[in-house]
Amino acid sequence: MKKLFILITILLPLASCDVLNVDSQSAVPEEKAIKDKKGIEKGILGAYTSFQALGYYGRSYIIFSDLAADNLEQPVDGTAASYTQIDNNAVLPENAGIADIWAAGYEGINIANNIIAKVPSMSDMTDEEKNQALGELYFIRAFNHFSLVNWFGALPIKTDPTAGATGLDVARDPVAKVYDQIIADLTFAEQNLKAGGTKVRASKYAATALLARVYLYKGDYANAKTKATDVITNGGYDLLDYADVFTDESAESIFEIDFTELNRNRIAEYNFPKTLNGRREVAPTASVLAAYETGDERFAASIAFAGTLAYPIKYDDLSLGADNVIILRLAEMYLIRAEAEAELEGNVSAIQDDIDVIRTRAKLPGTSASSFADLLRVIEKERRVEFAFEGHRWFDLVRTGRAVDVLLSVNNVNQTLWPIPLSEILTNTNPGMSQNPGY
Amino acid sequence: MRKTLLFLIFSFLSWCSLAQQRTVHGKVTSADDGTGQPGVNVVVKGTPRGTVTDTDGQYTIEAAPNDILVFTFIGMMPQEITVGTREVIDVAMASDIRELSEVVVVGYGTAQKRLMTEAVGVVKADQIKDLPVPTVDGILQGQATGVQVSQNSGTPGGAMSVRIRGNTSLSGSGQPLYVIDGIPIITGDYAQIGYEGQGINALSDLNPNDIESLSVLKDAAASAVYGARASNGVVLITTKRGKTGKSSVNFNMYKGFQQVWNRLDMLNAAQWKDYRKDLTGVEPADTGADVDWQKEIFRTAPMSNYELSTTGGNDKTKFFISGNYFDQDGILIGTAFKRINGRINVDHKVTDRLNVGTSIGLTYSKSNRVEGDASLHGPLPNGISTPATISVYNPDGSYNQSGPYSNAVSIANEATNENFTYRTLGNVFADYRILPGLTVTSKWGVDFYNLREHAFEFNTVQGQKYNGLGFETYTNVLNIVSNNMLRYETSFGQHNLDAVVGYSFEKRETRSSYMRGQDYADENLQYINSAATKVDVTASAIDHGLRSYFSRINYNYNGRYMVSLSGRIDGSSNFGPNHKNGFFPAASVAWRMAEENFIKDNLSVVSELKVRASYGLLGNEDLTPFSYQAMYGTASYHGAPAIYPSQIPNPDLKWESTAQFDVGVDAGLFEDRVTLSFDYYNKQTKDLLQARPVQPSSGFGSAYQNVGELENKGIEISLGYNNRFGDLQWTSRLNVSANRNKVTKLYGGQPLDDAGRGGNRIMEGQPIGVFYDLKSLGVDPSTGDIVFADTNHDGEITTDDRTVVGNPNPKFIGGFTNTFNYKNFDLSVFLQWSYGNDVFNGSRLYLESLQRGDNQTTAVLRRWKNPGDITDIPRATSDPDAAANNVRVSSRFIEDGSYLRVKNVTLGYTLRSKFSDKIMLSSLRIYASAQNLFTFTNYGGLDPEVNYSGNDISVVGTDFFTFPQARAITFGLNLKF
Repeated sequence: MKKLFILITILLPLASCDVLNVDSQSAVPEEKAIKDKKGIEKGILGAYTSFQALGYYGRSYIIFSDLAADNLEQPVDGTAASYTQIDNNAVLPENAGIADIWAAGYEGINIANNIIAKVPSMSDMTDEEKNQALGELYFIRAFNHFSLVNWFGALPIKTDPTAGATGLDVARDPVAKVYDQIIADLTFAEQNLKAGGTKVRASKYAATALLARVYLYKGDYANAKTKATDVITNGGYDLLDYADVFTDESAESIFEIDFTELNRNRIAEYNFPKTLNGRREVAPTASVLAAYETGDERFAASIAFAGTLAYPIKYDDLSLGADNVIILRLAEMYLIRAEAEAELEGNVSAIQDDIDVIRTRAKLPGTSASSFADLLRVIEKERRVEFAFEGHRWFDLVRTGRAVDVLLSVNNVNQTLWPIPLSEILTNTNPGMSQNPGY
Repeated sequence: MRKTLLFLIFSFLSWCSLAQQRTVHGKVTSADDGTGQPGVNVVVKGTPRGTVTDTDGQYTIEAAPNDILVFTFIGMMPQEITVGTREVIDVAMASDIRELSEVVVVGYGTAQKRLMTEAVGVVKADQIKDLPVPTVDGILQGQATGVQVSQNSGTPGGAMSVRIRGNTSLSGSGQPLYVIDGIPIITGDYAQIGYEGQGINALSDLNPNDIESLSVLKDAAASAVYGARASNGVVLITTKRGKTGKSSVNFNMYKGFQQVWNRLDMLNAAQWKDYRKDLTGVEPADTGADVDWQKEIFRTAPMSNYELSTTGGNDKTKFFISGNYFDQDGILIGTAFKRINGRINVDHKVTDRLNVGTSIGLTYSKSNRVEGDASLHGPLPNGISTPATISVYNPDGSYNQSGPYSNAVSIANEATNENFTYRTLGNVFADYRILPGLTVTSKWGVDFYNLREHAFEFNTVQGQKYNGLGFETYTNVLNIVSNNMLRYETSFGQHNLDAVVGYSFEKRETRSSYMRGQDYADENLQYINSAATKVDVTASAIDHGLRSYFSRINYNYNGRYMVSLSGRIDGSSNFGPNHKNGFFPAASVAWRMAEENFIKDNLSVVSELKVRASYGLLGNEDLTPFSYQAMYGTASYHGAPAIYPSQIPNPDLKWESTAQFDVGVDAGLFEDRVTLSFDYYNKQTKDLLQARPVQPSSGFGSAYQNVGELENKGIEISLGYNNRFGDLQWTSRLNVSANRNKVTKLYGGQPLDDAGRGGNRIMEGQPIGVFYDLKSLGVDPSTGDIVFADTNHDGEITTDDRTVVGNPNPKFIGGFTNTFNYKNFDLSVFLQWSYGNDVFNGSRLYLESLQRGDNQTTAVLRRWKNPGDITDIPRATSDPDAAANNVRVSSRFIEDGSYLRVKNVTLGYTLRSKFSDKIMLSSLRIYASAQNLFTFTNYGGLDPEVNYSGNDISVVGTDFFTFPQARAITFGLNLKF
């Protein structure tokens, strides 16, 4: 008996030597994560997932532009306080909505940068494959930078992965530099990506189309016109009946973010009235309802009514939230080309033609405007209804310097930029991380 | 050979004294219930002659007339009786209520309280027996110094925050390590469906009635043997075991009801209309309804408990078997908790040298929960926030969903949220005496925790949105523990030595799966097989290992001078190769001055006086596993697998370590009728694991680092008094604790800002979780808007003007128990309080918002209306800037959360008559008990003892529509056969 006990006592520790030998079952150590082409592919998809965040393209980013402008407002029974601030254009640095956008954008940039750093050492990839992978990652990086710079102005450009917790105090780079980086990334993407393929991933013409928008926002109208024309002529996209545009991967769509029941968007949830089981945090304004001309087919495809309550329906998958969110579509290219041409004071009939492509599709008569100033107003109005609830309106008014004139609650140009989120200000000690004026 | 020799010696001794001796016999009974008391040592004083009472309490011994018989039994007052001429000497032994004579359970052993050098708080079964509290953490409240227990909410069976000597961590749960019968157990909230603070609690699976004692290990000397998990303190729970003697059967039950003890004063329909007219300029249409929504969501709820146990044994085998059924409905509609427990504890002596035993507890529990707090689907927030003009039902009988939030009654009635736990907590052990004084023990324990959550809703707003929404989750956690140790006890001369050296390992495997389904075929088919769309299907696994070596050496000289050394080396899988193992030593000394002659001679009233001091190092390994490594998390995009960098690596992550110094005095006066205990401690924690916020522009929100330092200093005083005045016995226990917590260092001095809804902040020089908000200067009489202090005098009110406006940590806490026994009556009154803590009353952000569609409290009736009005409530305005300004998080919503609770009053009557004998009863007691009978507080919310985010250390003292505690009145019965 005694011997048995001693034996057991000695054997017990041996039986348990491996209790400390434990592997993670939910995440892969970095050194094992990406070893080959397949790993890079998974990493690229990982970079797309940050767009799906609810605080980003999964909900707020799409809503905020219309809410900050005059297309959406928060009804009196809305409860999301961060939305109230956006609606009133009185945004505080601690606003959770803007912090989510900032964080999601930089998360996407960092994922892209991590994978970018790994691509060159992959031995099973050809140079062409590597450039293609890099092109897609550069597109993601550029789109994130672009998504942020429009709200926050000057911001840190990130092109290297975050490797540790030190050296992260970075200064804001001027807006012009941010644009240079975005254009460089997109130009590489345009040159190295293939045309076609699924629309939930970047393609050659997704890069060209985004470049057209970037040049337009930057005020480089000649390039905006060139890029928009390239997409219209060579992209192979078609204008559809307006009601058919908002289906997943429609022929008009150039680039969209994938959502499925596993990765849901909550846009419909925030738009739909409570009687239809939504939250109705936002609702169309009276002025956007009035902005549609009589007979405009886009109205019925954009807005529905529950009793007297209007609500947007471009994204209407309330129960699953699985409808893809369209980022770029062909109609925008026509209006970009028209606007660029008008700003360049070029060919009036070309401008009218492009506008009328959009108006005809909406079953509206052609425009009668002929002065450049009038045409620009027509384009502004056309963009408002064409892209209502798609996240364009605020940027259109801000980049044209029209926000203070058009929007009642914007009295000061300082309001056209959000404050840098408090979470960044508190953690980033670089003296170059300054707050925007007025905050 | 040795036996023969002993026999010869005893024979000789017996023979020597035979001349004057005769046989004395008798029965030893328990004074408490009159039953025979087995196992009592009966010794002739000054001789080695002695015997032990048999199972009926009978004994026989040879004694001379002038001999003195000494009767001793652990836990009972010893008695000395001169034999005289009597042949039959019956003795009734009273239980020893003197605290200092106790035997206390400590880590990997037991100790006599008199000889201890450590600071250990003890709660005994009789202190907690009548409390209608279903969980172990709940019964600790107010019972021991240095232990702060706050109920996070009134959710039946819900989680509580237990803090022993303050917070020593900024991450992890902050909860102590719980050890049941020597086996560390699974605690915490494993629920996968979020209920916004209404967490469940793996600890609630234990039946408090099975508990014999609880030891709270507070200082480093007591807890260092639990090394890497001890810095939050350790609670050792010992379950009841069989005793030698006649078997007894106990039946205990209570039954009662609970009610909400407090309600908010909300606007009625007329007041609401008036307010809305003021706000919008338009009087709302008359709905004809005037509903008190609190009446609709709160209810008088029954609770009951039944327990049957039997215990007994002989010198070979002892057993304790119990079964328990507990059933409680919550005071909030839709909530309930039910539990069935079984326990078998058996000890068996195989040979003189070998003892084996087992403790097995089985539990089934079911809780019905509702969403709470921040969710827009909680009956409590939704109900309180719904204006009185909104009727519960439409004229056609359907739920009225026209309120600002989905109908509270519809959620509670129509949504199913059930959690089931199935738990096995068991251990087997064997002790083998290798040599006299040297024992080897091996104990293997398993804790198998299964949690199933089932949720389904169809006829609610949320359910309709998804055409039926259901969840099914399974979590199983298996924890295997092996403790193996050698114990050596010896005495030579006045030197007494007791040493333990041991080896232990633990392996914990957590497996979970989660499913979400939508589009159900039928409202009566609740399971996912009827869901057309499976939205989210996932499963995951986490493993954890711990390998430890521990030792403790106790030495005392003549029971007067004590020294103790202990230590543990823990290796944890949570840490990387650079810091896999940690070493946690402790040392302590004590001096029992009462044994010295200068006390004995000069201060005879002093029956005990001990000073003690200890110092040691404790650890905390509570950290997300693999935080040290660069990891890629997994996701999916467009139907294909995706990976992404999920954390910032830090290969140098290591334990948090707490150095604790403790000095204490234990004193007893008048034969320990008065006892006093005082402790001062100073805990310095460094290498705090902090998920410190990083620059969001890095792509990450936070990174784990050992960066912070904090301290807890405090004093603890406990006073005990017990005495008998004729038939009245009075026992009184008072405990008061004061802890001062201060964060001394954070990464780069950067605060952890703006946690929770009340702006809790962790910053250097302040206690954890101070409220750091704008300072409200009240309502400007000229504008009706709130004015904030411009603390940096820059002419603008910005986030830079925030300052420390409140502290959620109490200045002191305490408990006061008085127990009176008079003849057959017993009465106990238990008070418990917290003083000097602030509460952020976050519900007022909505209930006094004067905007949006929420109902308001009657405080808004005194809102500013005209220039010159002096009031604390701003105007109702539709100006968005002013409205937003007026509800900014500020000191306006911070209130004094001090309270004094008459936590429990119990009055009992014990029947000890011929009648009870006739029906085979050895005792019968009936009692009535009131829990949370009165609460004295100035706090304006539902309950001052709330915390909407109980699992989060940094979010403290914030009330956000938190489920209040119930007042419970119960009637009970204790039967012993």
